[in-house]
Amino acid sequence: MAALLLGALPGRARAQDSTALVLQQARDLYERIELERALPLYRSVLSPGWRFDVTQAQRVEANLYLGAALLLLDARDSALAHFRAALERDAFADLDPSRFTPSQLEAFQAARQSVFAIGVRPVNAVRLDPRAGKMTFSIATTHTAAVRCEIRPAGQETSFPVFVGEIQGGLREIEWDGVLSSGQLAPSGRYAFVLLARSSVGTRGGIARATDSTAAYFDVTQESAALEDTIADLSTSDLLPETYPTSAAAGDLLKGLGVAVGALLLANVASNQDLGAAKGMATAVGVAGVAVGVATIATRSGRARPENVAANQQRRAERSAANAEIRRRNAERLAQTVLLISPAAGRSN
Amino acid sequence: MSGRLALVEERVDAGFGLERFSGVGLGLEVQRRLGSRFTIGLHGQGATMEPDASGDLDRRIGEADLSALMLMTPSWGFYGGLTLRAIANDAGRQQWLLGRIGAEVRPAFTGDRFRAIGRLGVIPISSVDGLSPSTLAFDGAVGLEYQQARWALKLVYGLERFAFTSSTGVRRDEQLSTLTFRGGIRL
Repeated sequence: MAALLLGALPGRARAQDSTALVLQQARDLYERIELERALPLYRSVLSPGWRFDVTQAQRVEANLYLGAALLLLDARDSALAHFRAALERDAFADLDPSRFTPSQLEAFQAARQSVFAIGVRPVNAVRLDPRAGKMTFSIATTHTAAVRCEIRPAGQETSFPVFVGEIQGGLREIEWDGVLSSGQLAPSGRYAFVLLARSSVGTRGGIARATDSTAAYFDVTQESAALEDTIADLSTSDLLPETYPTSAAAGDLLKGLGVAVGALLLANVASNQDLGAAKGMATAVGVAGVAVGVATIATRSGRARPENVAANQQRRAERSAANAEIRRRNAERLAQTVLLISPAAGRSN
Repeated sequence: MSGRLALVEERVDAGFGLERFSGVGLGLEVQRRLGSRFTIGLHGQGATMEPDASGDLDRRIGEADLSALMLMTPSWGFYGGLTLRAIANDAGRQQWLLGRIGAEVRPAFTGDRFRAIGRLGVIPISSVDGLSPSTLAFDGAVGLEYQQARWALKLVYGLERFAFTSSTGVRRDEQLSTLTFRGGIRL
């Protein structure tokens, strides 16, 4: 019948979304209570021989309608099997009470109790202001379970819980304000929201697998005004020498000797040899020059330079004050930080 | 502003042999810095010099000097100046006008308070009453300077050397040596 139906479809449509068309046709037949005609269509979509792509959601829909149709045909066990198959594929799967009968809803609830499946919806992109709002993670279990929801930075073993407790079957929303357990805002990076669950029915209810885990990944990007760099540490070139270098001693002695030599040259060479020169004056200046050179060595070499020490202290104090002001401004900017949450590739079950 | 105490010695050979006069002079000096590199100064000084030879007359020397110093770096620069000088004795008076220019080095000792001073220059303007301009005229000085925040001391040995020709064609060599101690305060 499915082949006949597809044969009646335009070639282009068949190529684009044949599965969706067949499911739509099957749903129309189901709504008209033409169950005997709808069943083969759903079965063909689920069969291994179906030639076209089938999404997870389409398989879940096919299982749900197949289960609902079979229940109306008094094939309860088969119906439960298809409901379980839908729930195993998608723990969020559910029947709309306005479109299905109470007996179908009751059978679906029975299926929920006989299989344990959990799910986390992919994270929606959101702009989170930690001071004013929270983001939500949607989780689901098929029936009552003890759950532990954790935020785990990607690539790290550490994690912290955002919810621990028992939840009834169905959908549950878990809130997170973007703050780590340390009280700090979540830094930019990739995170996983991990759901660990243990069925409260467990093996008592004939459930083979009583524990399960799954995760949804998301990226966090901190959005804040650009921060200022603090002023780098003062390097040697930024500071004045705080002691006189010992090498200055030789220079000072040379300068003193230079004065003496200059005075003697002035008196003995530059002066008029016929007139003679006032050598006593030259000698006095020469002696003073040597005395100053020697005295400078004795009093300065290797000693502290108080004026430079004070100037360096002033520079260090100015740098510290400037950095404190920069840190204060940066803290103000960081306090206004918001988190940009976006879904990331990756999903585990 | 500073005061100057100077030992002054003049040696002259005007064709009659060496004459030597020496004495002590006093003076005042005012300097003003214009910016970080330019300094102008004005000083006046007077001295009485006695001759070595008993037959010569005492001489009195007085001068006013306007000078400028342009530092290229803290350690060296160029100087220039105009000096109006009068030399007199009981018999007569001679007036000098000198214009000088040269280079000065001022390397600092460790600590920047002491500086060595050395200068050497020429005196291209040398107008002296009764004499033709000097064929050779230069000056030089060597000394030390000590500066604190508000005051400064300076000890300088200076030499001026001239070679004139008199109106009668006789060569006249003159040389003026000074050892100047200067103490000043910054106002």
